[in-house]
Amino acid sequence: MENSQDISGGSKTGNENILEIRNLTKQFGKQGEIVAVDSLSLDVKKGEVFGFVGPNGAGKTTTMKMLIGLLEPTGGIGKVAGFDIVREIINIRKVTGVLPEPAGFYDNLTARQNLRFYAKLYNIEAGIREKRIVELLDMVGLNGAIDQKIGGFSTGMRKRFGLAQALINEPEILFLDEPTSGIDPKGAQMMRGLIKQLSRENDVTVFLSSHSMSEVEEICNRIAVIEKGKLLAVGTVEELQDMVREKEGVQYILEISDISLQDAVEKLSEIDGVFETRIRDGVLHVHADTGMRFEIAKSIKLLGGTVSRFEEDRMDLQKVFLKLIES
Amino acid sequence: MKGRNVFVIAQKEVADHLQDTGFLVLLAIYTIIIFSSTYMSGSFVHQESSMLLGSINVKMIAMFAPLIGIVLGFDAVVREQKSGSLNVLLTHPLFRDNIIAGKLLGSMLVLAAIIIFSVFVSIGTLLIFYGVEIGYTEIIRIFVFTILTFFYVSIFLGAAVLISTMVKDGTDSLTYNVVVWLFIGILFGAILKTAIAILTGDISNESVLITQLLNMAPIHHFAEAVVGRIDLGFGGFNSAGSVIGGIFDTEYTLTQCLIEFKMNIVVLVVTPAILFIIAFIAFLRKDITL
Amino acid sequence: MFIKQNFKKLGIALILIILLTLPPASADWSSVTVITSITGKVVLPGDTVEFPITIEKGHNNSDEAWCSLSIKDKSDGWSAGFYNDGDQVTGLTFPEDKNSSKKITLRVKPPINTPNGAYAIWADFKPDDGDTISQEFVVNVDSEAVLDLDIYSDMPGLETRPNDPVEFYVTLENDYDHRVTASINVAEKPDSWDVEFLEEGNGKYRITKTSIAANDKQNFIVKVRPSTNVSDGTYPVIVDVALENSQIGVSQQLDLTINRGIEEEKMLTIFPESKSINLNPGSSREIVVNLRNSGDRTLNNVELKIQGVSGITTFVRSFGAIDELEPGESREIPVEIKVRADASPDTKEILMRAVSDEAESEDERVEVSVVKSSSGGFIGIGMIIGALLLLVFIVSKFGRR
Repeated sequence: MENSQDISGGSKTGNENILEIRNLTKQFGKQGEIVAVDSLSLDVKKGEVFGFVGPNGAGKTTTMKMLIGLLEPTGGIGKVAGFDIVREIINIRKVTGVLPEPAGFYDNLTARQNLRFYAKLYNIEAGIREKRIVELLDMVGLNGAIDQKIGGFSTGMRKRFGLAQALINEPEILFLDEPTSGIDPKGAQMMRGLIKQLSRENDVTVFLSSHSMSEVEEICNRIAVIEKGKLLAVGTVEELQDMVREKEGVQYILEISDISLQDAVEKLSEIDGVFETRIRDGVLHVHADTGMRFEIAKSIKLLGGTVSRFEEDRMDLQKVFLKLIES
Repeated sequence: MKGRNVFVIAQKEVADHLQDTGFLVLLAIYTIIIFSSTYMSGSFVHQESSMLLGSINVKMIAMFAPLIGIVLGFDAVVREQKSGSLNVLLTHPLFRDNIIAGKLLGSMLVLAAIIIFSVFVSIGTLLIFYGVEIGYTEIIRIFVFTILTFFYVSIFLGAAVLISTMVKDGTDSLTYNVVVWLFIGILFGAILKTAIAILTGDISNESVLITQLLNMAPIHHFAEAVVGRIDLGFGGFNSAGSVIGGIFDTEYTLTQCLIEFKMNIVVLVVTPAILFIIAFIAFLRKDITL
Repeated sequence: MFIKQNFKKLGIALILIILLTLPPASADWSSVTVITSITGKVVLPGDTVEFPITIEKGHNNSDEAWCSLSIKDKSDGWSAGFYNDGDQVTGLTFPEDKNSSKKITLRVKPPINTPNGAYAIWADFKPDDGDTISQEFVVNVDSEAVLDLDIYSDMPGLETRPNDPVEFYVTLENDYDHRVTASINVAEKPDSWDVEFLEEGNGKYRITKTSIAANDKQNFIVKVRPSTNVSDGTYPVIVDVALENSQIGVSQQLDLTINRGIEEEKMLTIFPESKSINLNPGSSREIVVNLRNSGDRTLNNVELKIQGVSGITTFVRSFGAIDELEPGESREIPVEIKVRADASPDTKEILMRAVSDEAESEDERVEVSVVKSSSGGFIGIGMIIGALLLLVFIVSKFGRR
């Protein structure tokens, strides 16, 4: 994993975008009545950890299948590492690593034997192959279980093994479908650590799907939110938050003294741009447009109140996500 | 790279079978059955033209060798699919046809090895224990017999792989395969006999209807080509299908035998090929959920 | 058998007489010449004596000539005559222009009761032209003289069982200087025995007469079949040979001993082509068994029976029994001998016997040695090694993962 630039396969690494899709569409059913992915357009830049978020059934897995050539799109175009996702599937697979969900391995084989089998599919020379197997299993923390049968692995170990499996060909881009689903928090944390480490140290582009916003928030540079096959938003965590703020307004939390909270609520409700004000646990929760901070503070002062705390309740991504979906 | 991966898959398939304890036990049992039945029938007096060939218990092989094909093929696809390993495999640089082709190739290789192994070990042991003479003619006939047996069992391998592509569960696959084995394998003759007797009241063994219906059973073609009988199944028909006693009839030249049983041999060779192609297509059209 | 007596003495007498009579009978002139080389002979009373005579036409006579022949003088009761090629002649005719000669025989037979002594016979040769030539022939009758016919057998005594025929070989020798014809008869035999005289050459034709050239001999078979109920003992069979001309003859006694103790000769015999064969287990071999009727009667329903041995099966490759087997006739019957695959290496004996309605043959044994095929064993080992190598190859080439 020293240098992913060395990977053969004619990848066009000069291109900044390692993944580009335009109006990618997938319809199922006889008349195409079920639209799983609807005119999706995305760019993923080289070296990014790109999160693909959406509720279950939003079309994340379908998109991913199309990107690695397991499904043929019914419309639109896509390129992964410069290869067409319809015509150059094998080339794409040579430079990609995939951890599908669900992922099964050969339970009757040891971790080493499993990896050896996958490595043979890339025709990796035996000496390099054996060295890489050990390195990868070491990296994912399975060096103690290298000659144990996969059948005896825990879910967490399987996920980490899956990651090693996806890296056997030193890919330029990793597709991880729900990499932490079904594993305990400690295991999930370890997995996230590995992904960050990969991105940081090995210059691998990671395209991961998840329904866990906190996870995506923690490890992803950029995020795409998808719902019912449609792309809702793309951007960094901050950009997404801003986007929601622009649209939905901001929650301010105020602690005030010298006046009654009830008076304050009445006063604030009169202001244009303040949608809702509520008292909760002795503090004011004000939902207002962005840029109403000064207006609110002025109104409280006019009432004779003193603002001892005035802060914006920053939405976590979970909230942002929900807001995006709601809108 | 594309073609090479067929062999990677085939090699894994062979290795899986060879290192499977259950499979090895089955191979040992099968070889012992073939050997002991050959040994036993060798101790009876034969009027056949060749003592050695007459000793080979073709009936036993015709009934039980298909089990080898079934064991090799019944979970070929369904196991991978169920465990999810197919999902992972498909993300690597190989086409679907490589996978099914590799699996068929690997299984056929193991099948060939088993059949050659069982026939060679049985006959070899017989030669040592009895000290009977073996001639060039007999060696050639045994060679042809081995090939025919391979094709015959390949029919069941093809059926097993096809079934394993279509069902959702390994147990279902095994059940269906055993049903197929019982029906078109060992009991076809007996069932046909009963059905004809009930429906037409005809209890003779040689009506045209029976002859035509028997053509559906691989065991009929195998039986006719090897020993010239119309059926070798359990409780089935017991009449000779030809003047020539199959390829084991050394009164006729091999060419004469091959010409006489041309149709049976063609069926034995073509049927597995057709089943393989169907299994191949079924696998390619299969929806594999990622 | 006659015993030759005083042969030398008689021979000398004969020579003396010949010397005395040597000058040819001749006249002063005659158109023919009579040449007699022998004019005196010794004879048994009743036997016949012959004198060879050559008559030539004169040297310078080219005309046709003839000569009448007559006996001028002979003793009473004697018979004498001239014979040419067996026919009695009284005259000879010579064609013209040729100097030719004719050979005739003077045959003289004294009566059986003629006393010993020398008797003269005068023959007249009367040509058509010239003087008659008279010639004297002297016949010395001697009752002690030997008959010039001899009979003997090299094996005049044989032994057999009742009803089993035997064959004696008897030789007849003609010591005359002329051909003799003799009839052969049985002079004496036990009642209800069959005696036949068979020609020696084919053993088949029955003979009643035989003709033997001068100083030649002839063999014939005397086949004797004793009756079934004859008791043990030695029985004489006397064979009489009588000269056709003189009715006197010789006889030979043949002794046949009947002994019920000697083993019966088989009428039916079998000969397997080979008496010992080697076979590998599982293999087979066809051998030919020869069935022969060695008796003299036709045998019916002749069949080859084989007694099986464990581990070996036999198949007689013929259509059941042979309806008839003539005496001397034989048949070849193929027999397939098959050794079972699991037969142990051992030597086994197959017993075979031919049976017919009339007789059975002796048991014949064929030894079958079951020998394990070493080549089969080597091929077997080869096959197992091959199978294992294949397995090892596949495991090493494909078995690792």
